[in-house]
Amino acid sequence: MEDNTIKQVLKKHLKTTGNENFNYQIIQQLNLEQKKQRPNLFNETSIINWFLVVSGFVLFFYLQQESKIDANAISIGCIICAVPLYLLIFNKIYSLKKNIQ
Amino acid sequence: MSKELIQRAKKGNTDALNELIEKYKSVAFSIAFKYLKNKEDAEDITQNAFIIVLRSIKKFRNESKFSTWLYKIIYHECLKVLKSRNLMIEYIPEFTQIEAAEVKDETKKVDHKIDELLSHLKPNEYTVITLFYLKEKSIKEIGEITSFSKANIKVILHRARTKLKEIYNT
Repeated sequence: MEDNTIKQVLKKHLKTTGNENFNYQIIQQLNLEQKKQRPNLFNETSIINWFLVVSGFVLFFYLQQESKIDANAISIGCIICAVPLYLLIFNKIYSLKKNIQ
Repeated sequence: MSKELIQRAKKGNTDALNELIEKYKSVAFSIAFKYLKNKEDAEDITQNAFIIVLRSIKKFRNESKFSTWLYKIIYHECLKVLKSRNLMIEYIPEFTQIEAAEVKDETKKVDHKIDELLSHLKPNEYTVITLFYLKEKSIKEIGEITSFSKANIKVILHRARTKLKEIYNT
């Protein structure tokens, strides 16, 4: 029995599913899962990364300052650091709104 | 496997997804059927494996072949089902025989000698020999799919070939 014969025997006797909707059921399931995914305004991971970078910058400039920083500058720094958090909240509100629609 | 087809499937193109499923379903289903000996279960496992693979196709980076990835999932899903039904299979052997008989009735036109010949192969042997000859997978790739060692695969291949030859020549 040659290799080619083995190949042909195996090929000829492959089982078939017999389910006419086999492919359709898989594709439909994938489409449903895609629809279920929450629509987002921003990618949350990138926001967290941005948050870390901004915080790093603020900390860096704070340490560079020789003179004491006044209360205004500190509050501005805090607001800058908090911006990504606002974006995360907007993102949640947006996805909830879309889901309700 | 064309990279273009994978790219289209990554974008969610229905035709590409359909083409991918069409290309691999028969071998995947045959392997699952050999393990589970039940048409419905084999269909479920195959569909499930396709869903797992296609769900994460966006992360696929062509590091290994798409088919290797798919067959690996099929193989392990089958083992998982067999493991969970270990006792059930042990206690109702008639059930699997009836199922096998039903399928045989559906494919009456099939040459019985060759069908019988293939039925003598154990699921592992069938998987290895099908992947090796039909899908032209290398021993390394079969190792990736089944987690068998190269030496083990060579032994299984040799045993399966000998079995086929013996039965074919009688």
